[in-house]
Amino acid sequence: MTGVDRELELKLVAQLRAGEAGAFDAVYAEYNRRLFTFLARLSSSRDVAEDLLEETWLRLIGQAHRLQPDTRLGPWLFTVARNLYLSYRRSRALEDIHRSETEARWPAVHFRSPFEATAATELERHLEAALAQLPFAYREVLLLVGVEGLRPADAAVVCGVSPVALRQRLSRARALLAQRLEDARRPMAAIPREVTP
Amino acid sequence: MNHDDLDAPDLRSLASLPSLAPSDIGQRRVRSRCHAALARERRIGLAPRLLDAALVAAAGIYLAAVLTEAVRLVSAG
Repeated sequence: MTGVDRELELKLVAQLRAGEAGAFDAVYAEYNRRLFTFLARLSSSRDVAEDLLEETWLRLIGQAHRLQPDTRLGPWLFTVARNLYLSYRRSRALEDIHRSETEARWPAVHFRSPFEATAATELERHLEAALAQLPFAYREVLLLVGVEGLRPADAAVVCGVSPVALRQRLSRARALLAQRLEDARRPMAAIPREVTP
Repeated sequence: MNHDDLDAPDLRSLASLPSLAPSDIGQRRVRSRCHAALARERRIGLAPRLLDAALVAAAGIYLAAVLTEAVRLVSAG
């Protein structure tokens, strides 16, 4: 529903405004997994993602009758999810400080995201690890455009920046990701292969 | 690598990363809470609409009475 089924999207918005449960079910089926994946990669926690996901859907119900008839549901939902994550992060700021102190004390401790644990290939594992360690502003733009396939203009709406600023941020994020992936590959390449006679 | 190209290998790699599903229990809870909230919203939304309909009906009855009275006065005069 990312621009393809605009007609259906407009119809769903009209039905949501009228409080129709069927429209909610259709939107839920389309976006639930995507929103959860986005939130889980932002927060690196399934539990946090589940809580924020629930709140996102409740916000949609609470605001449904106030939706503009031409609302684009994807950007709207991702904006709410992102803002809820930012609020959560602010409320947990003290714990983050504690966590960074812990990391500084034991640098070898590595917090694995739920995705790293289930990654099927080495490239996926490296990508997940690199994504999880990027600064938030870069991580979110890569998740929205790269993983979720939002158009840069829609991602700009979600992130609350101009399309030009988003393109710059995306470009820097990709450069940093490439650098992190290269850094991750280098130590492995340096390991001498077993010499066979 | 051109970082303005949206069809570059790095973005394709990101797009192919697996998605994750929330737990079944969580999904059931969210859906039931949302359906209950929708029903509540519908009930709340119905009250102003009923009030509007009652006001329109009252205004119609009043207008009809005024017109009837006007016709009666004209025909009596």
